[in-house]
Formats: sequence, structure tokens, C-alpha cells
Amino acid sequence: MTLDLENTSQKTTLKSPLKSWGGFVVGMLILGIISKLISADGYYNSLANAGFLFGGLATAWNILGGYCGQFSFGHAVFVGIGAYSVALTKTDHNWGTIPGIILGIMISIAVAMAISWPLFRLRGSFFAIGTLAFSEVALSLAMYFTWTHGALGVQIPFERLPIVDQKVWLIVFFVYLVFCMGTSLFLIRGRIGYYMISVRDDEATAAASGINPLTIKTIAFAISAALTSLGGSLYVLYLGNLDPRAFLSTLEIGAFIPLLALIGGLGTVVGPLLGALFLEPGQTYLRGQFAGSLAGISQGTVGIILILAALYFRHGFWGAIQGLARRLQRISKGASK
Amino acid sequence: MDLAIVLSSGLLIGGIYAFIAIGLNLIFGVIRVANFAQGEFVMLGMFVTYLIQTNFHIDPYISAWAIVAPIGFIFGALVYIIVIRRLLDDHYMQMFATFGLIFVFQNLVLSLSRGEAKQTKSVAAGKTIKAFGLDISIPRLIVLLAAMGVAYLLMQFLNRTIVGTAMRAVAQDQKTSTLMGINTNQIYILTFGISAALAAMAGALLTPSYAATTEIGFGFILPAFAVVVLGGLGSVKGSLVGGILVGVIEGLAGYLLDPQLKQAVWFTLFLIVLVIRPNGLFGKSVKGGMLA
Repeated sequence: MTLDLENTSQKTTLKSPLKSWGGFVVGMLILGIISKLISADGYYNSLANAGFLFGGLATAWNILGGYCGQFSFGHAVFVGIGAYSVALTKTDHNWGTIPGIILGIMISIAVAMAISWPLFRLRGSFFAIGTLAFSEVALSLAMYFTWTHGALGVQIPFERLPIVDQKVWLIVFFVYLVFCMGTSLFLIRGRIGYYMISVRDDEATAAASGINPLTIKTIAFAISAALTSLGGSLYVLYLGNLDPRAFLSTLEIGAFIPLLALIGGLGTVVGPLLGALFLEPGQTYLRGQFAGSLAGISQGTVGIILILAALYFRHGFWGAIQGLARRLQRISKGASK
Repeated sequence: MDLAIVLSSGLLIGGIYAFIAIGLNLIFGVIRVANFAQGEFVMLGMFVTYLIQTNFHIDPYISAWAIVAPIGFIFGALVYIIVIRRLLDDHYMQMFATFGLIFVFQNLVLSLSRGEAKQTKSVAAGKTIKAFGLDISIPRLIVLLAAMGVAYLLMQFLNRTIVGTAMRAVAQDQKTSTLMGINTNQIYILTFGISAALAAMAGALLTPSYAATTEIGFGFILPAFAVVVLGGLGSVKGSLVGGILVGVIEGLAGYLLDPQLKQAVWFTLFLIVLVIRPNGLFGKSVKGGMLA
């Protein structure tokens, strides 16, 4: 399972302005100011909340899927672990919010490392099928046990929710997004990021140059799982209600998060955010417009976008923007000669 | 006595899994595409069968092979030509695209059926026969026998005909077969069409015993992948044996542990086999696995 050489050499040599810390800070400031301005309207506020949360989740997935080239359709498991850790400790054991979140992150890292050994022996599609099966096991176990409240899920009492103000949630999700993207940028700028990309592009050569692919993949998986778990914890605190079928859904979480990264641009720092900012509000809008008249139209549209993106748009929005920038550069160079 | 009932029902469920897995395995073996949307072909087949019965009053056991399978063939060939063919060079994009197909098909049917479950009527529906003191559901027995029949015919086709030989050649080495003058493109269209036809036919045969819902197809896809992994990539015989094995394991796990845990049991088993024997219990190697 290797990506074709032409694609990957192009991908790795792309210089993006947001790959520098200065660009990152400026970009995040602008995004923060825009979201502050639009949050005056409650509807836009909730759209921004979802966009930032899923932007963070897609960024977390991208560390394993985009940088390291391991396509997991099982990240719903880590969303679920994060959500269950907070919800169960809060409702049944009277824990505070932060310990629950930390517990979720630690369990997620442990689970990711434990399943790394069997799963990373699988290549390409087999890895994806393995993660899918893993996700289904998690769902059936969550529905089976009584300490997870079975199929009923967990309802966090309203007075136990730490934050109920939508405006405060916007700040929380924004900070989560910044944290995820900062981690992603830190990784890709450093040695470990180059290791990840080399494992993605040519595992055999990477191994021959002294990189241990299994270690690199496991590290990427653990970081990705930890960030995803954090997002899952925040998500359940935001909704106040944990439905196992929703949180551990293979299609609506497990396949949807990678889709956001694909639409925005796989393996880039900014791409997953762009995908989430486009698709999350877009889907909510469609659902609102056609509610009652045409069931399934928003998800059906997501499917069509997914197919079109795979066919014609493999580098996503960010790839398209960069291609445009390169072309402009070439034109201006030609004009100055 | 209980155990006999569990085993026989596991065997019958296994027939369903085997039927669906045969088509999935054919695509996997020949084109090397993990078609996550294979279950949706089953679901579409079920709804088409329902439409045929309500509009033309044709029994599902007749329309399954006479009408639904040909429609499935054409539909599958179109899906291949429009979507999959352009993605042969990129496994990641194939996965995304087939997931996209799942979203599209499920929601298309959801908006058309308005989420109602549909079931067909047949003379055989709900009937059982007594054998060895067991009540055996006739509709499910028909699915098992049909799966065996289809597997037999497909093996004859692959081993005895020139087109089948070409398919096996492409499965083993695509580049060399192209150099030998085999039109790979046509073989791929044919393979995808046959697989979709088998899936649609399986769906049609399921309608008398299962109500068609939009999500039913996705529920079949992981068992089918488990069968492919157990039986070996590209092996028709392996799909049949693997399907029955998965069905029996599911039945036993439900009986010995808890019905709710049956999925967890065979998913775990699936993961173990995937890791220990990635070529399947019966597959020899990934490349030459087409010979059943």
C-alpha cells in the first residue's frame, strides 16, 4: 500500500504559509475574531461550535491518517472512551470534570497502544477493515455492560454540567481546536513529522534508514487517540447526553471525521479545519432546510461530496488553494522576466 | 437438543453471510478493491424485489434470478465505470468513495421509502420443514442452498470458461495478463457486475424472511469481510466455508455467552485471524488466492 510517487513528492514538498508559527498565530487570531463577531447570533454560534469541535477531531485523525498514512475508520472508539469516561465518572462516581477528561485520555492512549501491535501488522484496506471491526466490538460492548448503562446511554444531570452558556462553549471549542492544530503543526515541523511522512510514503525505505515504522505509527496513533478522546469528552459535556449509537457510530463519526480531513486536504495542517468549517455547518443547513420534506438529503449530499472529492479533489481545498497560489507565482515570475 | 437448534440456525445464517461474501470476495480478489458498499447492493436488491412484487406481483424467488440479478449486474457495472474505475491507482480514495456510495444509497432509499421497513410475501415465507426433529425455516434453507449453488456455478465459470480463466489470470497478475492480450478493463467491469448481481440476488432471496430497511446492508458488510478474511482472499470455496463458520460461531457464542455478545466474539476472532493469518484460513497467498 503506497501512494503513487508523483502525488507524495508533491505533497511533502508543499510549502504552506501556515506551516510557520507566525502564520499559525495570525490565522488563529483572525479565526477567533471572526467567530467572536458571528457568535452574537445563537444559530451561528452553534454552527461555529460544531465546526470547531469537528475541526479539532479531524485534525487529530489527520495526525494518524494524513501524516502517517494509516486510515482508521475506528476513531469513534476514542470519541466514545472520552465521552464515557467523563459521563460515567460524573454521574455515577461524583468526579470532577478535569479528572474524568484525564482518565479518558489515559485510557485512550493505553487502548491505542494495546491495539497498535495487532492492527499495524495490517496494510492499507486491511488496516481500515480492522479498525472498523474494532469500532463495532466497542459499540456492542458498550451496549452490553450494565456499568456503561447499556443501550440506554448516559444522561448527565443538568446541574452537573460545568458549562451551559453557548458563548463559553465557543471559547472552549476554539481553544480545543487551537490545541489540536498546534500539536499537529508542532509534529509536522519537527523530526517526528518527517518520520511519519517517510513511513507513509515508503515504509520499506523508512525502515532501511533506521526508522522503526511500528514505533512511529504507535506514537502517531497514541497522540491522535488522546486528542480525539479530549474532543469526545467535550462533546458529551456539550450535549449532556451520551447515546452509544451516536457516539460510537461507524458512519456518522468513524467515517465522517476522515471525510472532513479529505475534503480539506489530507496530511496538511489547515486542511481538516477547512473541511470541518465547510461541511459541518453545510450539513446542518441542509438538514434545517429539508427537515420533514426530504429525509436523508443532508447525508446523501455528504456522500456525493465524498465521491466527488475522491474522484476529482484528492488534495482537498487546501491542495486547490496551494495549486492556485503556485500558478499565480508562476504567472508573476513570468511577467517580471 | 438445544445445541442442535443453535447449530442449524447458525448454519442457515452462515448461508446468508456466505452468499454476500462471495461477491465481495470476487471484487477483492480480482480488482483488489475493498468494496465497503457491497452491503448496499444487498439492500438495494431487497427494495427492488419489493417494488417488483408490489407492482407486478412476481414472487421474490422468481424475480431474484430473472429480474433482480440482471438489474444488479447493470447497476454494478455502471458503479464501476462511473466511480471505481477512476480510482484503481489509489486504495485510500477507493475506501472514501465506497463509503460515499454507502451514504448516497442509504439516504436515497431513506428518502424514497420514508424510512418504512418493507417485506415481500411468498408462498414459502414463514414455512418450516421438519428434519432430524428440528424445525428448519424454508426461506433460510433456500438462501443456503442458493449460496451453495451460486458458489458451484461460479467455480465452474472461473475454472472451465475462457472468460473465467482470464479473470483468474487478472487476479494473479494484472500487468502480465494485460501483456497477454486480456482486456483488463472489460474483466473488471464483468467482475464488478457479477459481484453486484450476486449481492442483489442475495438481497432478493432475503426479503421473505427479513424486512428491508435502509441500514440492513451495512449490518452485513462486516460479517462479509470477516468471511473474506477467514476464507481467504479471492477464494470462492473459502467464502462458502468461511460464511458457514462465521454463522455457526455467531450462533454458538450467542448460545454459550449472551446473544448480545455474539458480534463481539466473532469480531474479536476476525481480528485474531486477520493478524495471525492475513491470507485466511484457507487462502494460500494473497496473489494466487483465486483458485478455490
